[in-house]
Formats: sequence, C-alpha cells, structure tokens
Amino acid sequence: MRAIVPLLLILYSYGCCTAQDGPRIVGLVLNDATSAPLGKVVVLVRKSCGDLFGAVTDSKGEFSIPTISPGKYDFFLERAGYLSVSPYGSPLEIQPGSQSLSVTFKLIPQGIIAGRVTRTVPDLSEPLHVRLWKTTLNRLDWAEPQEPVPVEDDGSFMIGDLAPGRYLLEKPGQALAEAEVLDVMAGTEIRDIQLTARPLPAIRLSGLARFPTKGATMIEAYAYLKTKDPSGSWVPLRRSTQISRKTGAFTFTSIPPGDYRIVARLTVRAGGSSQKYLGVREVRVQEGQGVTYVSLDFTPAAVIRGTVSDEAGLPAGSHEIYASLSPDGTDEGISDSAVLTTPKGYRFQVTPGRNRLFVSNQSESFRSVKSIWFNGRPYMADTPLDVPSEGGSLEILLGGPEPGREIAGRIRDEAGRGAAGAVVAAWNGQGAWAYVQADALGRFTIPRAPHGKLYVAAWENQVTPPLAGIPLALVTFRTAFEGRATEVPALGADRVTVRLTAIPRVASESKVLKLR
Amino acid sequence: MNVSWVVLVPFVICISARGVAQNQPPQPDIIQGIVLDSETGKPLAAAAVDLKIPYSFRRRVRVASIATNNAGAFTFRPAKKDVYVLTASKVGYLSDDATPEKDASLSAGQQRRGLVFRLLREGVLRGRLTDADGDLVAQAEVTAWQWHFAGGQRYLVKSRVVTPAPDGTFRIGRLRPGLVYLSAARSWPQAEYGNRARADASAPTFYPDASDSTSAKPFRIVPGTNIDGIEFRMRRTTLFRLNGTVAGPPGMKIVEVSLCAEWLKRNCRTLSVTTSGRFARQFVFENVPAGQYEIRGYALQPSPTASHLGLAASQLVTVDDRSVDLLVPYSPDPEVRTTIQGGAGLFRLYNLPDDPTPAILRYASDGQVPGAIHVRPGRYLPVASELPEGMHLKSIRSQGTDVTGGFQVTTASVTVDIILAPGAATVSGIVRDGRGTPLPEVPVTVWSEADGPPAFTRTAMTDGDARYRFANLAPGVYRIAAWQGISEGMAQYRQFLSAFGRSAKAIQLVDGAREQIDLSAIDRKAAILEADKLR
Repeated sequence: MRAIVPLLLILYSYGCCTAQDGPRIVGLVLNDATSAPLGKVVVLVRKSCGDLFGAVTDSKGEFSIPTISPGKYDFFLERAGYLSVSPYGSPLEIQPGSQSLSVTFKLIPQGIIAGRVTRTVPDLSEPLHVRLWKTTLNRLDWAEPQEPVPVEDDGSFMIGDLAPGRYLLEKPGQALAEAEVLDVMAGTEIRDIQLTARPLPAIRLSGLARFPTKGATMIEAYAYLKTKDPSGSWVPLRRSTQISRKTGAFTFTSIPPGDYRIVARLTVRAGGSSQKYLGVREVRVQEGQGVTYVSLDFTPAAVIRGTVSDEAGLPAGSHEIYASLSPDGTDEGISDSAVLTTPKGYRFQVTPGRNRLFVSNQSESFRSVKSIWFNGRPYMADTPLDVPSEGGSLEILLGGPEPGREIAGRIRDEAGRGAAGAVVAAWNGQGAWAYVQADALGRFTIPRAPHGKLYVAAWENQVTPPLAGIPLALVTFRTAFEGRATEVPALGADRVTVRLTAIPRVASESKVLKLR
Repeated sequence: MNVSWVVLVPFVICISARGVAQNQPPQPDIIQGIVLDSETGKPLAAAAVDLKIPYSFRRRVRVASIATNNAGAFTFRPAKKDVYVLTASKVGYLSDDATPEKDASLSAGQQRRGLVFRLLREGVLRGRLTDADGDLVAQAEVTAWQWHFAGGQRYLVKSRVVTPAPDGTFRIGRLRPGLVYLSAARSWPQAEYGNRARADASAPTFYPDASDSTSAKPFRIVPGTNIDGIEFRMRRTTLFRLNGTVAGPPGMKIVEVSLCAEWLKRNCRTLSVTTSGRFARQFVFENVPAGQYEIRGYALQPSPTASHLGLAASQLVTVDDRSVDLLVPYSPDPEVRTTIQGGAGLFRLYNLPDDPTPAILRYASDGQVPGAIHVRPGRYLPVASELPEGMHLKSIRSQGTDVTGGFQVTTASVTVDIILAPGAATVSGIVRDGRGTPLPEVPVTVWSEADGPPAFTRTAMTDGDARYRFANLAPGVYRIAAWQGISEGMAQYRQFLSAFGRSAKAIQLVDGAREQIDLSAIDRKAAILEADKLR
C-alpha cells in the first residue's frame, strides 16, 4: 500500500543554506571524448551539512548554482550514456567572502558490451546471468568480478556504464581462463558477443586438510578458491567453504574444468594465544572427472612480537595509530594488524618471506612514527621487510609531531582549464608515495609528502572510485611517468607550491593496458 | 505434431487407469500430466515443470524440475509423500490457467495423473526510448498498461514496467492478448533545483505522443505478437516547482503528501511532511512537468477515545505557466455508516481501481456493524460475499437511491441501507466442454439481462470436479453461462456478457428454488473473440 517515505527526502528540499548571500558556482560540462559541451547533465552539489542543490546543464553545457554559503561542497554528475562520477573530486571549500567560482567537468561516454546467450539445454526455468570481471591494477595484477547481469528471455544481454579498461566476460559454466577478453575505451560499444550457456558442471573439488596439530582447539578453518584469468594471473573466485574441524574434509561443488589454487587458513588455540597456518595447493580439474581429490598441508605463520614506546615528554595520543603487516606482492598470505598503544605490546602473525609494514596516520597532531627497528635493524615503513620463519621483534618509537613537507598547487588540463578531480601523487625513489585528489577547481594539498627528492605528477580522472584505472601502487606505473613529473628537490621549504598539467586520461589508460 | 490432444488424453488416462487396476506391486509415487499450447490445444514439448514444496503462503522451494517430452507430458517420481505444488513455464509463454500453480500433494497410496497446464505464447514489444531530441534519458521507465477487469469494471493497470537498457532499447515481454498502451516517465534526483521554470525534453508520455491514455495509440497483442523497432520519443515540457503548506488539526502527524498525475491515478510521488521545526508542514515537489494533478494527503490525528483517526486531503491542481504555491487542507476521513435489515451477512466494499483490497463489513445477526467505517474519498462498490442460506439481497440504497452499482464518497459521510429478504434460490451443476469433458477452474456467470439498476452479475469458479454453485439468488429471470479462455473479471463485465444474450441459457428462478443445471461452456474461440473487442 502506501509507503512511508523517509523524512529525509523532504528535508533535503530545504536547508540552512538557502536564501543567503554568497557566491554562485557556475560551470561547464564537456564530453571527455570529443571536448564538445554536454547538455542535460544533472549536477548535484551537496554541502557537508546535507543540503543538496541540483542544476541541469543547458545546450551549451553550462550550469549555475545560485548563491550558496561558505562551506565544503561535493559534486555529483550524471547523464544517461555517460559514466556518473560521485563525488567528482575532493570537496570544494568556499571561504566566507569568496567570489563566484567557475568549474569545468568532463564526463566519459559509457562503454557497452552486449550480445546473446544460447542455451545448450533449452528452456529450463533457471534464469541466466552473465558476469563481467574488470581487471584492475590498483593493488595487484588481478581481476574483480562485477555483479551478474540477468539475461533477457530472448537470450540478449547488455552491460553498460562501463569505464575504460580491460574486461573479462565469463562464459557460463566454463573456467575464467576461457573468458572473452574485451578492451573498452570511452564510448566503445561491443555488440554481437555470442555465448553458449552450458549447464553448471557437476564436478566437485574435494579435499582433506592435514591439520598440523592434533587435538588442538580449532578457532577458524576455511578454504577459498582462486583460478587463472586468461592472462594466467591467479584471481580469487569469491567462493569459500568451511573445513570440517573434525575430519578436515572440504568440498567445492560445480567447478568448471580448469586450473585452481586452494588457499586455506587455520587458526588454532595454542596455550594462551592463537597460531595461524596457511595452506596453498594448486590443482587441475579435468573434464569428465566427477570428483577431484586433493590433500592440503599447512605451514605456520611467523610470530612477531612488538613494542611501542614514546619519546620522553610526549603527550598522550589523541588518535589511534594502526600498523599492518602483510605479504608483499600477493593477496594469499596471512596478514595482521594492530592498534599501537603505548606501553602495551602487540603480536603479529604473518606468512614468512617478503612483507611490508604500513603505519597509518604516520603523524597526527601529537605523535609521529620516529623510528622502527626489526630484529635490531632500522626499517622504514612501507618498504620491503624480510620476515624469517622464526619471526622476530619489532620496535616502534613514537616521537613528537613531524611537520613533513606540504606540497600544494593547482592542476590544469592541456587546454588550461582547472583539472577537476585529477589524481596527484608524490613519490620518492625508495618506494614511498602519497596521493590526493584535486577539488573541482583542480586545487590540491598533499599534507605530508614522503621524504627525499620527489616526483609530483597529476592524472586526469573521471571515474569512481578515483584510483580505479590509475595503479599508483605499481612502481612500474609511477616510474613510467617520471619523465612527465615535476621534480621537487630533497631539501628546501616545508611548503612547496607546484603548477601541474594533468596527464590526459587516454595516456594513462594506454599505459595501463601495456603494463597488464 | 498432427495427433490431436483430444485423442491423447483418453489414452493417457486409459493407461493410468489400467495401472491402478492391476496394482500388483506397491504403487510408485507418481505425478503425471501434460502441458498444452492454449492457442492450438496441442502438446507443448520442452516446457519446464517445477515441483515445489510450499513452506508458507509465498515461500516455495523447488525440489525437482523437468522438461516435458515431445508429447508434452511430464512425470515426477518424488522420493517421498509430501505437500507439493506444480508450475509449468516455457520461455516465450505465459500461463493461461486460472490457477497457474496446481496442487500435487501426495498422500499414502495416492497418485496424481492427468494434470493439465495451458501455456499461451507471450506478446513482445521492442523499441528504443529517447527524449524529444533523440538523446538517452536517465532514470527512465517504460510501462505497459493493459485493461484489467474486476468488480464489473474495466480500468488500465500496469502490466509490466521495464528500465531501458544502457543504450535506451527496451524489451517488454510476457504480454497477454489485448491492447497495450506504453508510457514513459523519468525521475529526478532529489535536490533543490531553484525556483525557475525549466524546459525539458523528457515529459511523461503515452506512446506515440500523448499526455494521457485517451489519445494514446495502443498496440494490439495476440498470442505470438512480436513488434520491433518502436521509436518512443518523450514529449517536451516545462518543469516547475510546486510549493505547499499542509493545513489540519493540531497534533496531526505522519503527514504524507502525494502528487498524482491525473492520467496515472496510482502513479504518485510521495513525500513525508515534517510537523516540527522551521519547515513544519511545508513541502516542495521539484521538477513537476506541466499538467493536471491531484494532490492527495494522508495523516493521522491522535484521538482521546480510540486509536488514531485518519485524515485525508484531495485537491486538483493545474501546473502550467508558473510555479505553484498551495494550501492543502486535511480533514477527517468520511464515514460510511451502514444498516442491515433481514439478517446477518458479510459485505465487501471495493474502491476500484484505487485500492483492490476491499474493506470488510461483517454484520452481526442484529444487523449492527460495529462502528462506522472510515474510508478515503472515492467511488465504492458494495458486494455481498456471504449471506445466510435462503436469504438474498433485496436492495442497497443510500439517500433514496439504489447504489447496488456503487456510490461516491466525498468528504461528507454517507449512510447505506442494506435489506435482505428470504426465499433465495440456488443454482448448481457441472460444467463441460463441447465434447463432454468436465472443466475445472473456469468462470461461470449468472446475470440479469436488464441493464441499469438493479443490474445483477455474479461470477463463480468451478471447483476441481468442475462443479459450480450460486446461492442467495433473488427470484427472477437470469442468463447463465460458463466460459473458457477468459478471466473471471471479464466474465463479470456486462459489456462482454451482452454479446451472449442469446447463446446463454435463460433460467427462471422462483422463491426458494434449488435448480440443478449442467452447463456446456461457451465455445473458447467465441469467448476470446468477444473478449478481444474489449481488452
């Protein structure tokens, strides 16, 4: 019957910011592929207090938001046939007494993948879906599954709103390695894809976990599955199963033939604490086999005991400082994290081998990480850390606030307009890096840039989330753009202002595809 | 497949009968049946038949699924006796059964054979939606409207709503035979858009270029219709802002206000109105296309005596050349007070097509209904649904007028007087088709031929044994007929019935008569032919 609509909806229509004197926001929206003005774009502007203003671009691509009060504003843009961006850049701060502002946004035409699915067994009432995987280079070389898209009764399907990138179209009932590899550029329409839907294979993958300790209390025991994508990278399938704590048995059902990697985690109670184990096993599942059996052995995680201490005279901390230790270059191993509270100690369990320690909030208003020692040797956060299987000890010393260098500036596009929402990064030669996103005017501030000689570069970016498609974490990606970066010398002022020209989106995209 | 199903059915039944007769080893649990193409009467191969266990009113868990063989037949051998239901489906087909889900429960020693499902080829409309400039439209929906028949009335209901694909194309399948009106509308993100009127190229539109269904051009769907290439362009309009203030008694709460397009009655945008703070009792609708609207409001008023009282508002508004400021008064829901003379009974009060769920009026034997019923303004149709054996409805009147055919409730309260009388007649019997096969789950109508009040129409469905029964009929002259291939609602629509004034059987019922009348159903093709003129 009648639905009670939340009160919020109507409250949005009013607000504290209406009918006040203030600057206007005027703007222009362009088609990113053609640079032509784009009409009918709904521009939503939300103030941090929740007020939401709307405007629609006219045929010249222009819009205007009347008289708004000082505050921080987020922009959300949407138009049918283009990728919506929400929010577009970091919040734009409007100071009291500021003049009217002029902003420029660009929208990327959507990519479309469409086709038809034919069933090998006709007409059973099971609804069909197709699934796309988007390859990302954010953290690692892997692919991520998207939400399945239902197939129409006539077998047709269409997936739109695709950002530029490489996609894998899963063939129903077949291994991911058999997927179609599809490169989508701005506005690309790939139609006439023909897929055949086979019934789900009745193959099972069963295993027996050989528990490392007999009779210990099992806190956690599960396994998940990875498979190879068409490029041969191992990607997680988002399928996990419980391992029987009594027998160690586990089963995955309906597995298409192909290569798989089983990754299993155990946590057992050991005395007053717990011990984690990792088990990894590769297996090939072949057509015609009803069940594939494997056994799984486990190796224990290395235990690292740590201490945190404060430099003399340091006030009590106001913010929590987190530390996380995780295997470098793989998502499979055991990782751990802890809140650094002085004078309490902490305990990490990680897969032995190359790891990386990341300390969040490396400097808050009272404290900063002054130095780190691992097994008696100095270590710098966010650089490789070799952990032996017997573990070790980690000492973290917190010191007083460290101002760090602030790098601020303005980014423009090649036509000289403010590069709204561009991603700007500063990195050094030792593997440390930081990034922020520019506001709607192309302004940015990196509050605590890494030490040493820095490269600073900016990339145009109109996709959500902002780092999708810009794999800043990859050293190879960053170094590829060092020629176009602005260099900031190691010594100098605490605050450095730079003017940057954003690297066009197409340039970074083609680089990403080459790296892949 | 040239073998007629009429030949096959007795064959199947014959085999099963023999199986029962021999009965040497213990009978296997078996559920057997056939799926037919409703249009041709021929068996339908490769249809999916699902065996499900009903765990609750809505929840079904599928336990088995099989495809029909080339003779359209299916056989389940469930592992255990249980409560089961069966459904049949096939891509490109719709159920044409009055009850698409059939009971197939198995108890000890029981076998289910001869279940018949009828599927009808769907209609499909395909096209592309754009705005008036040919551009893609954001947050748009395409709605297919079809005539619905209920309570002796005909009205348009949404039969399918689809969101166009990312390139603006749409496909609307599963359409039943009849006229289909297409409409398109878009919605806007909730925000404050400023107080200026704004040109827009995506006004709510009925295909091809109409603002309401009356001047729209419908598509005619017959089984298997497949229309492609519909170019659906939305109209141009101007968007306005509609501001309003709610007026009503102090303490009113849970205030809702709805903006309903005149042509879409139940297609409303609804907002909650705050009753405190700086913007108490104010509301704003943004991006309102020019047109005629009804502002509807609902709220609650605390009552010291009873639970909350309902408050309602209704106001017509034209949005054309300026943004509108409105004052919307809320007043208590009107009352329908009813009296009954001559006995107890149960009546339903329908508010069609606004609200398909009727209000129930249950009279005690003293003729009292506990308290008056508060209803929302609208047109109401009283229908007797349970009367004591031997009683019939003599009249339903309000303020001296016969209101058997319905009455209008505005903001003022009304009194309705119901009079029952003894001497009711009963008619019952079995319905068969032209070949003598019993017809379960088909509608049977008994109606008075005189048009205008008190025109009388009543419909019943035959049960699993093809039996029907009408009780509580007033003495008089009636027509009676049974139907195949049409809905119960159609069987109650007088314009449909009038085409069968001659072919239907005439009956005269005297005081207290108990007639046994077996019926031969009206030919399926003839019924569908007449129904197609109306739907």
